[in-house]
Amino acid sequence: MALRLAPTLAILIILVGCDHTSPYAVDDPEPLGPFSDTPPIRLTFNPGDDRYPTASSDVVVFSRLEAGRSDFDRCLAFLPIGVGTLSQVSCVGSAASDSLVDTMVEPALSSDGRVAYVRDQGRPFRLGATTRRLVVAPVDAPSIPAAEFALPFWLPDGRRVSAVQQLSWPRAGVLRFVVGDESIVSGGGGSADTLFAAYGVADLSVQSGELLEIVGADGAITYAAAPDSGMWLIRAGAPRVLLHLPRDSVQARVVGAFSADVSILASVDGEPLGVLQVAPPNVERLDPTTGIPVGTVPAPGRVGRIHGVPGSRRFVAEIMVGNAADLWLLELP
Amino acid sequence: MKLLAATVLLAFTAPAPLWSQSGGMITGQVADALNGQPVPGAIVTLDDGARGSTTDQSGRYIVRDVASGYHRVVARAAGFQPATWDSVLVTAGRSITVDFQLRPEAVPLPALAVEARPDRLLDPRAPQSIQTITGAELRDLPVTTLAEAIELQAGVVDGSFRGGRLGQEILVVDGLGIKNQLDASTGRLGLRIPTVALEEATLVTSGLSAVYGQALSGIVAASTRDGGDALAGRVALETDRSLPAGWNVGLDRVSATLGGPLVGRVRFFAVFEAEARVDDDPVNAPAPGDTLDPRSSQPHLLPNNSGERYDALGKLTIPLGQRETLRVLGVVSESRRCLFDPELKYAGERGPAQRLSGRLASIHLRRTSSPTARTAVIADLRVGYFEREALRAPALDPAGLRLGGFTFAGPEFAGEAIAVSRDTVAALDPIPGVDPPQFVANAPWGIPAFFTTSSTRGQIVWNRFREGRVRLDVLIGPGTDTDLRAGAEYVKQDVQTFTRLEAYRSVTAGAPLPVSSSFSPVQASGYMELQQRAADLTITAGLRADVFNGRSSQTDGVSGTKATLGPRVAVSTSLGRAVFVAGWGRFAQPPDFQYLVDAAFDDTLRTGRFRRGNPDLGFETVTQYDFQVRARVSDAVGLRVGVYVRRLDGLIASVPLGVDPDSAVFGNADFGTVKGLEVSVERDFRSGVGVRASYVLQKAEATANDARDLFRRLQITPVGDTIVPATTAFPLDFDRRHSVVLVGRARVPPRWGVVPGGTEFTVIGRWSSGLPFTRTSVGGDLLIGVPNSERLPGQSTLDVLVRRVFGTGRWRVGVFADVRNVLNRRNVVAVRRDSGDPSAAEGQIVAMAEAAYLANPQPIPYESPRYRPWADLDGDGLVSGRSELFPLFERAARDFAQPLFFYGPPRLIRAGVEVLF
Repeated sequence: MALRLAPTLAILIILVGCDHTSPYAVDDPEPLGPFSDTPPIRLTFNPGDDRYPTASSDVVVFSRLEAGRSDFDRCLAFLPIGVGTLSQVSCVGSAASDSLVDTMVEPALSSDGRVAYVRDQGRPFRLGATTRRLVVAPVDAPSIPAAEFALPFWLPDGRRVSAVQQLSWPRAGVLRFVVGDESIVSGGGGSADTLFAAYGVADLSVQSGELLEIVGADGAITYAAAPDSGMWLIRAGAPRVLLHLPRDSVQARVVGAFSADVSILASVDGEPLGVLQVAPPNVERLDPTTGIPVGTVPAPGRVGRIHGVPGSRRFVAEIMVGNAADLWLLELP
Repeated sequence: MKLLAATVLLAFTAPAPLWSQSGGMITGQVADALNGQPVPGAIVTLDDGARGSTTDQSGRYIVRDVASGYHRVVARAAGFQPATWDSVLVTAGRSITVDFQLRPEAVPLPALAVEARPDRLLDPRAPQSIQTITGAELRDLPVTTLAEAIELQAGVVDGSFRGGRLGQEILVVDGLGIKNQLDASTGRLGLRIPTVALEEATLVTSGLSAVYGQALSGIVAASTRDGGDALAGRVALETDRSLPAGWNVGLDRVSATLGGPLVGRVRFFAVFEAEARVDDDPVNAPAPGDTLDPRSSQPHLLPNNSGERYDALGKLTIPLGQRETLRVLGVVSESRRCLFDPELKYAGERGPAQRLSGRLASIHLRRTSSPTARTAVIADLRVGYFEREALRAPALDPAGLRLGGFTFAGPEFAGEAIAVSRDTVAALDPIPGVDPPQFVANAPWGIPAFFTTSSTRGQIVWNRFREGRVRLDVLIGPGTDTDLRAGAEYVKQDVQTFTRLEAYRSVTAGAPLPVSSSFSPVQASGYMELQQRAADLTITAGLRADVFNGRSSQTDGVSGTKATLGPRVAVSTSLGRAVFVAGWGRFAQPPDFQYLVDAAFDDTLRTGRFRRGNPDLGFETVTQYDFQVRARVSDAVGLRVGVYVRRLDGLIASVPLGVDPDSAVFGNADFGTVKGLEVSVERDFRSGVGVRASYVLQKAEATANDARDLFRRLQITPVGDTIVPATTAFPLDFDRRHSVVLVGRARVPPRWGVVPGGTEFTVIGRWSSGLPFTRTSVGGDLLIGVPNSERLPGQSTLDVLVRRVFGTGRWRVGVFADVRNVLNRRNVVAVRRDSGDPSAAEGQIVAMAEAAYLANPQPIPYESPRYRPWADLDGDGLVSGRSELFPLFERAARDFAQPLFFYGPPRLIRAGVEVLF
């Protein structure tokens, strides 16, 4: 009997000892890496606009108008540096054509895993936003706000802040930005545009919602973080003059002057960079010690916003080639 | 006498009954062994002596309504030694003749100890077309479920009985009818009776007994086992774990039974079965030719297509006295499935899932008269509760397989709480957990088309059907030649439904309105059935009355009470070694209750996404004419030939309202005819070999007055007149013209050696011609030809079971291998209606690609996860323009349209071990 049972037991052991085969698995495609190896490296080829870049040491975040979105919504896109492929695109609202344009612009990454941005909602083909909010959200779910601040803000002197630009996180829990008022102005031939009139730079406590205008940065139209934790500034009244406002100081001092009017400042590896309002706009370096321009950084097109990549001599630039703005990675010589 | 006169009168004025499927009959004659003279007054008893009969003046006796299975039959008479047949096999719906030759006490002889089996052919008392399969036969066949076993019987095709629509049958479990009256035509019963729990199963497709209603085409009767006098059981494990890819669909199955005495004379019987498969619906579809398709290298299993089933059955048999027995039965079944959706091919382990559960509880009290009573009386009181709940919704979590295809806990469903509470207000908003679909970016083709992150249907469908049933059956047997059955049944039902489509978006954003219903139909019935035997002639007549009221209301109608009468009659006689049976009957069933109420449907092609119910629907009916000849060609070979004609009437159909093609209401509008010929030849299992072959020729045509179909038949005469026909005829969906089933069994003689000797082989071969289907235009909105005017190709399979049981004592161990579709034939079970082929036509692929390209022609930039460098022909960082994009859309369309479920299952192998004790 035992002899007869032996094959049975052997079969039983074989049956339970083996595993099943599995269905096919679906893997994500391998990242492609950067389009080219040496700067200038084109980061995006989007036929729609890629604007308002901000960068940490490992990821670029920007506002993206995705091709194919019939409602012209602008979403937040995350592009890991050195990977080449977007890791995340976060939108509010549906991709379907609707009666609202939802935009997520002016992103700023914090060091504690949060992203701040301005969310505008408006009407298609109409200038200006019907509602505007400053949003703070986790990086992995940007469309789900952790904190929201509806604009307009009001400064202590009663000025109305209807728009903010160039968001940054100078320290944990504090958002910094240029404050001002946005209005719609008529141009010739029935055209119109929005006009941003800057008041200066202000800090917002995310926890308390308290808005503090930074004394000494009044009138600034753009700013960048200086290596001493202070700020470089450009004021509307002297758009070529680079000012430095040390931390805890209320008095900005002149550092030097760019060769033309500056629209945007950035800090790259401790150096101030300015986007010159020339044709076409380009990026000029300025020696913070001598206050003298030390040359421009070649760019393949008209430069818009720029933002330095921390810990490197590279910066991300919004460059207009043709009809759309794309992002490029440039490097200081 | 008055009773007899009344029943005879009934038989001629309203021909009717056939007899019950709940039991069989033992009949015969007791005679003096010395002179052959009949012995009147002899008592013939079964088993423990509680059941039995007394012989009449001619020595004849009859024991009615005997439970299926083996019985010990003893005959006793004063002055004679008792005689015993110790293994008399009784089959439901049939009679077995057991004669006794009694020896005077003065002549010492041992009692008989022999086995008797019924002759399934030459039984003139069986006027029905009964096909029986015993529990022992089920164990020897390569079948797993009762449904699979029934499929082997002549006249059954893919759940359709004799060309009828799905759901035109009823399951009778131990004499109590069970039916999914809510959506039998489109949904399953939800309750499975494990085959190991069956004493036997019978299929009746003609001469349906007046005892049971709610069926037009067939009665499937399952008799469950009682616990025996000694503890006995079986544990079995089946799996395909050790098999290579392609033969391994991730099957694991465990089955355990235990039965025996519990306390005193109380017996119990219990079964638990669990089965799971990693791919619960394996298909033999060809591998795609595109090497980038992940299925090209692993074509055998589909992901997110697992399923698991659990069944438990418990039964108590409680003798209350000498002639009263109480049986309590409980069955619980639950199945859960993840449903592979081609749209979600690249969405990972996400997708819709479904859960179907069934519960049955029944109590059966039987009282029988004494074996010495002059008139046998058997009364059965049955009370039952049946519940079926079905849910189909997106699963909240991935399948989470733990052991093979087992998840044990099952998936959580999005929106289940809202569905069960039928909260149509909360359901106006997007349902939490149902994500809006977006095109995936990880498909090999990159482009935004066809493949999504979640289902575009976003379907949540829930329903619950409950019923309580009480019925009383009485069998009166005055003498040995007359049986009178009468009974009544009352059924109280409860129906609740909920449907929400596109649950990822709100109703205000365009999703169809959620639909819910709750109503409580009632049904009642009564019947009388008489069988009168005279020599070799048997007349069976019956009359059944059915009443139902859906008790449902819509804005434009309420349910009324519907009543119908179902007369039936059959005459059978034997002539030499042949039996001739002729029958006629009218049978009825209430409509599926799903058609009484409004429903949302994900079907924009035909009836729109909203379908109006009709609470005032009436019975569907069939009038059936049968003729059957059963003959013994030789001692071992039998032949059965039957022909039938069935006139279907009042079938539920969708009737257009006005000129709006999306506006329709249900009505008892369609009718049709089924004609068939059934031939079977059987060689009894003798000398280690047995064979049964059956052939069915059938023609099933529907006749519709649906305006949509009529319009297609519009004719213009030569003089310009327009003729619209009153009706149009076309094949029914289950019009399988030819089918052949061959079942062969063989046992290796012991002289061939210890291991091969005793090995049993069972082979089932099937061939059938194709089912009809309707061709449409590529757009799907125009029928080509008459409905169902095209045919699928024929199908064939060959299944084999090899079993060897070791040991003959109390403990036995068996091993078996069960192989389905041994030849791995690629059967086409469906085709695309536009191409008439499983694969889409090349033009259709291009059209799909073109439409998808036009919807999303935007370039794909380098940084997009959709960018594929091999598609960027000019290397400019953009996949753009028709030349670069369209080939991707075309390959994606080919991937999306590849036929999967158009093919039947591949070769499936399972190996098993069983321990019997």
